[in-house]
Amino acid sequence: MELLLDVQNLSVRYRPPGGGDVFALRGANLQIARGQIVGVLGESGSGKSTLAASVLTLLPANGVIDAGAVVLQGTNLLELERDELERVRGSKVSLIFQEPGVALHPMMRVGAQIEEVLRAHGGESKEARRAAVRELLDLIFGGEAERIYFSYPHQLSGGQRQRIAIAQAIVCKPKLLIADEPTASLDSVTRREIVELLKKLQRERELAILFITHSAELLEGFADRIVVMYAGQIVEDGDAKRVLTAPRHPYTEALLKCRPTLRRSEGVREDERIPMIAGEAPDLSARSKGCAFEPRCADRMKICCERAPEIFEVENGGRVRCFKFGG
Amino acid sequence: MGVLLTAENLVKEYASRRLRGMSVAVRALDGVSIEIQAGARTGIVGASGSGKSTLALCLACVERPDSGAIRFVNRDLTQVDESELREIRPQIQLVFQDSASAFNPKFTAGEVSEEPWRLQRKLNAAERRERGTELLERVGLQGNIFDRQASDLSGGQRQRLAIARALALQPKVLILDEALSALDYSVQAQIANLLLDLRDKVAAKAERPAIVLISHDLAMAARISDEIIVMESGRIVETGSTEKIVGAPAHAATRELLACSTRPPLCWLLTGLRYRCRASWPADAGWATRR
Repeated sequence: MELLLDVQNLSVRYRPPGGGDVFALRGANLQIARGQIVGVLGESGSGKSTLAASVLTLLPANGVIDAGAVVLQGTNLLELERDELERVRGSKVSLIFQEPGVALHPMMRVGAQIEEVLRAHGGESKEARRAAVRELLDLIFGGEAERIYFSYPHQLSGGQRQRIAIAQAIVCKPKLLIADEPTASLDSVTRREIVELLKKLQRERELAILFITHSAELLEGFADRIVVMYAGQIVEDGDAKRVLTAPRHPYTEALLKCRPTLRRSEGVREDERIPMIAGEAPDLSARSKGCAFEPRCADRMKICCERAPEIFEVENGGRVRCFKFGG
Repeated sequence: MGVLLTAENLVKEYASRRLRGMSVAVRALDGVSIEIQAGARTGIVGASGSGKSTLALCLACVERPDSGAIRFVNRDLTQVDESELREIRPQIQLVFQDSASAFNPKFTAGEVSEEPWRLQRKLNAAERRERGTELLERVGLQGNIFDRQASDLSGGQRQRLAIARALALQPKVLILDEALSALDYSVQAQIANLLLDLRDKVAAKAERPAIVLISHDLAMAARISDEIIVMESGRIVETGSTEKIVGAPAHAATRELLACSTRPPLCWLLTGLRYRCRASWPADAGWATRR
């Protein structure tokens, strides 16, 4: 498979005004192939949104990239000048966020807003732009495309607005779409529809997607590969089916069990507690000597609090950051 | 167990939007009747825009329905005046999704937990502090959290604090409006277990608050509730025991929520079968009447 994006040893730190640096990302390595869907699974404070933002150097003002490279088809995006970066953003790599309402202009019809992206990246005639937008809306909305084209954002539902944000993001035919929790503000039915749309776009346009989420079940049947993050580090990386059905890292295992499942065949709900991970997510401003998950881990060993595990290669191209698998 | 809270034929419209000089009313509740038993746990589920949050606000006397009655302890809450509501509101407590905006950010966790007693002019300062600490422990907030600022707490801790504050005045009804939805799954599991624990820790059944969990997440609602009410477009489309709703759903909306909450079986993954998805949009459902 052809390599599209190569994130090498990326470390990001936030410097809050009061002092006490927050190490949000610590040495992340991640490869995405052309047309591949990579799911990044993690909870609040795991560094997953920092990873998304630093690919396009869109970190907040107090964010500092300490080390690493983000290589897109041979170019390190972190070394580009501002105007060069502007040409990459939106045309080669696009980003969509959780809240589509914020991404849209409230007083502009959404069709015109999608067209604006094409205009900003230049080239085509007005007619060609308009035709491209219509074709895209037909693909996304089917029979409703005409009505949607002339709608204002407030006339659309949350799911429809997110579809418009997706249309804006892919209208320039980028190779990579970074989706940072695009479904978190939507209800569970609409969530599935957005995921279904992204899957369709991946198939039809050979679009690679970096899909950031805290919800494992969204990734089922959608992602090709899953990367699990905890405390700013990648703790597991592997084939999606493998990670979801036979997780290796104790954190992944515990996280997947936290979701109550409906056992339809039995019908009756068992009344015991939901399995949970005790304790709080770690403080990212402090660095512990051992493994970051050790205080909450069910399988902790003596070595876990003595030094931090590196990430170990396992079979089928998987990686796990746990002493159970090496060291 | 007796019936504690009933809603009869509630109708609520929001007439706010103006389009080309025409005001458009959204009928959020369209003849909704429910019964909440004392100490029961009820889940109200539905997609966005189904009216479940409006129902929560009406039950908690935050919104007044346009018509219909809400009966609670022999009184119709839609008819009582503001001074009577001050007595009733402590008995029906509401916890929202966004815990960050639920407290004064400058308050410490302790001040937040004591505030209900202070506002009701109950207990002296020492008693309040003691009871506040007890309360925080009951929701799993131990240690030095009492003196930490509410804005410094994590999302899960803040939601625990919101539940603690809601429990301070020993309410008869605790309504959670998507209170779990914004949390990480590992934290959702912690809070869900806390709600399950409430039942065991309060010994007498009569003292236990009835829990009304409003959610779009049927899997979580099923785990916590004994009875489930399914809403769509401002109406109740199905009610029943959790076992019945999960095991033998009758209405299409229920089956849809169920399909979205259930993990696709492994055989689907292997055959590459796609998710089951809604075929049409409920786009026009809310646009009920035009004036």
